[in-house]
Amino acid sequence: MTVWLATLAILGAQECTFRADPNAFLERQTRVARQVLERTNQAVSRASRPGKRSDALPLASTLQPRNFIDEEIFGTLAARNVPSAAMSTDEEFVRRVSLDLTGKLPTPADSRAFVASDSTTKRDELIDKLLGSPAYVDKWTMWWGDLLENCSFPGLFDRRQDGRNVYYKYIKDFVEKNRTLRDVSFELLAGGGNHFDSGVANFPMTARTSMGPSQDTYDQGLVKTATFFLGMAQYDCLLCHNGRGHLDQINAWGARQTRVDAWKMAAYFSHLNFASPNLPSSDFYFYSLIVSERTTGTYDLNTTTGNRPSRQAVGTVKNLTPEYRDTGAKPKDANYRAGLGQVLWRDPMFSTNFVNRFWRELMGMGLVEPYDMLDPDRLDPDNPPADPWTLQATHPVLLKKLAQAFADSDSNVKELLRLIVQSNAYQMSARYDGDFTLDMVPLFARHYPRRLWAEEIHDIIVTGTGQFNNYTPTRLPATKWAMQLPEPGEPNNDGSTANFLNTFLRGNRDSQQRSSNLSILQRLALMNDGFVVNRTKATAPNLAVLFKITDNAQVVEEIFLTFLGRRPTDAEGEAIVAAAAKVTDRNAFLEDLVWACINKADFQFSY
Amino acid sequence: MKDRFGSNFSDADGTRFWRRPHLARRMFFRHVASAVGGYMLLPSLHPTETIARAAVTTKGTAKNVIFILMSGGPSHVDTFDLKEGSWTPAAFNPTTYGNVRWAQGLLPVLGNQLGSIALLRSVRSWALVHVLARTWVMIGRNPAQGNARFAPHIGSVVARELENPNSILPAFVSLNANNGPSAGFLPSRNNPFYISPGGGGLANTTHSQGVARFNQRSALSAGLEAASDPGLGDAVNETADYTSAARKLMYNSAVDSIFAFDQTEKNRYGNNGFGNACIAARRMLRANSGARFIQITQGDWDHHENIYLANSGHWAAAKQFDNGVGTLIADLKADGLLDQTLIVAMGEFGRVPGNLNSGGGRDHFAQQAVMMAGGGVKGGTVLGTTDKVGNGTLDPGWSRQRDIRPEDVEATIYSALGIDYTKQLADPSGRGFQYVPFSEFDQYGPVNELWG
Repeated sequence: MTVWLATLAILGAQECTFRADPNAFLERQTRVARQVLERTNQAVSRASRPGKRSDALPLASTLQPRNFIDEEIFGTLAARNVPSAAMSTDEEFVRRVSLDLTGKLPTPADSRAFVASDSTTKRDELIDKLLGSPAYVDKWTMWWGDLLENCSFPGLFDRRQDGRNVYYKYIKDFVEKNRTLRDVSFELLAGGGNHFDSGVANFPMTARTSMGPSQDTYDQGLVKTATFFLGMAQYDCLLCHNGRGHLDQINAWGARQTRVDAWKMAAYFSHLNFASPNLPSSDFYFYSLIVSERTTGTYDLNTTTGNRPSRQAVGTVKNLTPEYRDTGAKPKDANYRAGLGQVLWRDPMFSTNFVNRFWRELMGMGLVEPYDMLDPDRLDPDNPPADPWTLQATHPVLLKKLAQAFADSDSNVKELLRLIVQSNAYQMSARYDGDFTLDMVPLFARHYPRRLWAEEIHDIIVTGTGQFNNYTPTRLPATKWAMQLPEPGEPNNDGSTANFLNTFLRGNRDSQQRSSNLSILQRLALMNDGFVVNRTKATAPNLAVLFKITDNAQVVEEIFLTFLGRRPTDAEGEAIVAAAAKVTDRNAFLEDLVWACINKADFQFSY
Repeated sequence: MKDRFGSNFSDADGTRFWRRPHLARRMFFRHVASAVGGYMLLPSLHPTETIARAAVTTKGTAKNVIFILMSGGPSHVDTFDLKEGSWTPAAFNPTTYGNVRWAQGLLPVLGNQLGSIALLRSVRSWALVHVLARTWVMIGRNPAQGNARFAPHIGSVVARELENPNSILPAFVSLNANNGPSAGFLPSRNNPFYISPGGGGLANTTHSQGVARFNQRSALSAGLEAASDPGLGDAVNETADYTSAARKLMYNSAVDSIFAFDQTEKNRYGNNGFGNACIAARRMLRANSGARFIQITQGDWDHHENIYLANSGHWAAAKQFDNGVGTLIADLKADGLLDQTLIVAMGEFGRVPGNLNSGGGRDHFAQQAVMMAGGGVKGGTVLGTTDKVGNGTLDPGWSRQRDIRPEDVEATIYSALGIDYTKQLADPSGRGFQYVPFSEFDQYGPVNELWG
């Protein structure tokens, strides 16, 4: 560990050792992988110790715990006498895990091959393949762009397309290289330079609050940092008022925080400086800002205007310097943001936040909800809060173990995702026989479907029909995939496609979050929008190929696999045969079938 | 009985639209207290139960609201708070109508409706950044504050209060926009229903391959759906509700009669996108379609340069606005709908008064002015006076004796509709979401003086 501290102390001045020495990096990767595997094995062997789950129920016992996730999930189910769902079928699993990890359906050939394979390790092999695929990079670059709010024109400042582009490239690079979040978070926190050139300068840009005193910017820097990296949006509350009298019913930790405590955290941004390069308006960099750290300055308690209530001296204290929450740690030098970057990843909330966010993405619900109001006082099962508070997580031990595993792996995102999707808890079916009642929801007794992202819906339709458009985001390479767009405002060269995507509520990375709600407009779009109707034609390149398959059963199966990622059930097959009897034009019927698949309820879900 | 987030849902009133027999979904959210941006496992019920309200009297004189967002920030001194000076183009033709000086040459159609119009001149914006201030106006609170990340649009709150499950359109319709603040933590059916009317009917309610082909496809689709395994749970099954609501809008003569209109009518309203939206708004109200809060986004009013250039800038935006809203007021009056429909027109802020900047334009400025009409508001009212050039308020002209803020406009809208603007709903933060912020301190409130 001390090696890493030394590394961090000099970061910013020179390259991180991970990149400077690729061999060392690879060795470490292997070591981490081994550690995770050992941990998994240990967890499994612990789970199978006699007595631990001796009264396991029939259904749950059919799913052998694969790692400590299963130990906790199935252990809780057994203790509560709740049967779990059965295991997902191979066909369900390949569809689900492909969508969840890469945003794409498996190709019909891949789906068939996976189902047909006799390999006992085929699910793990598929997971490895997907985690290593380019589509994985696209999907999780989008995810991180959402989290870090990378958009050109947020309400409080102008990042513009050129800032967005370098930020997008930075994100894509760390996702592609699976860099440790420890380094990524440090680089973002300490980020500087011209924000049209430097990807990391765009994180401190997020603090920029153009109305109000500079303290508003410092506050915004803390709010974004705490929300993205610690899951603690309650700083947004605490920067206006003490927790007491406001958060008493909501957040035990927040309730004992004062506004001064929050200001001391915001003071980490009190050296943040934005400077215009002062260039003629014709210059490319005219709208850019140079992000840097001043060497002096404090968080002054002297405001009466702006976005937050007045900041006034507390007793004789008129200004504040940085102090980390609870630990009281202080930055070693004037580079306050680098100082924050050095301690942030060591905050236990850092790991807890990320495992909870990724769990939520894959499992449909966080172990703690609301996922951005984590309560540090109510997370440790070994140190539970006093009455009337209860632990915040549905599975406190699991959350703690996941956070520990994540921290032990040097914040390795791919390993975390692998750990989750390898678990039987993830691989359970979404189908559930028998009553599924309210009290079972927090138990994860079945898999929860999620509505696909706008980009996933788009990409399935263009892939399936083979009819692509060309999107040209400003000063980035052209693409035909929605998942490769740098932000939801794009494609700006194709308004009707942008509208189609917006209908599926991809958010704007500023005032509107991505939403998985359904709507009437979505149903109208899937039924009638030119984006769908103009593609469900026998002339669409991929459909022209598919429709040449002469065997009727085979072409139907191919269409189902292409658009729904599964083969038709027997009942569906019969319905198709019955409908087909009424038509004479085979191509027209197949067009209708493609349209009907896109309009199926299950089309728009990962389940 | 309080749950672990401290909320008491035992006297919950549930929801009215597509009401489901089972309680499971509401109770589900006791455990998943945040649905914001989250997975729509169980979409129709969110924790929107009322947890508090103050005892206030509302006006209740309006049934509908047409909210016109003058995007970009119109120059208040060149519209609703005319200030004449060396900068004023002669073609403005300032004219006195009763107690109002009005740019008759710029806004002639509205000039004829001034007897129905109220002007609020002591209005001041909180912010001068477009998106921030615009969002502020639409959600009625500071977008940079804690609960703004799940705060609903004013129209979504109105929809929650006034929606009718049997109507053909959702209660909140947003015209000529496809993005903006949404229902926040309220149910997704309270999201703005985005329409850009062009006179050719409602988009995506006809099938380009023809109705026969659509019916053929639908039949196949229905057969497949019936044959499918429904075992995936509510999230998937819920789709059927939305599909049937969408199908109701298709090939529906009531919908067509609202959104299909001819060139003659378009010409009356100026033959442009804004005019078309005004036509659709009027027709939605005439048809009693269920739309109760109709937003029309109009722009662009952001004229930093050459603001008075003929046929562009301020002139172009004002002409469009004048023709559309002026005709709308006259038509609603003729329909007998103006008295029950509150029209509110405002931008996100005003523009620098006095002499123009070096580029011949006006930059962002906090002082602004708002126009209202109908809905019980007394026509001819002018509230507040500003100084000689329009820099700031001299006399607020209303009981609170301070500038009117977006929150006060929000409270005015709720009060006009008879909605208790102090109501608090259980929200994802657990603190409670107030319709108008800080209403427990009576910090903001309706401009009752508008009712005379």
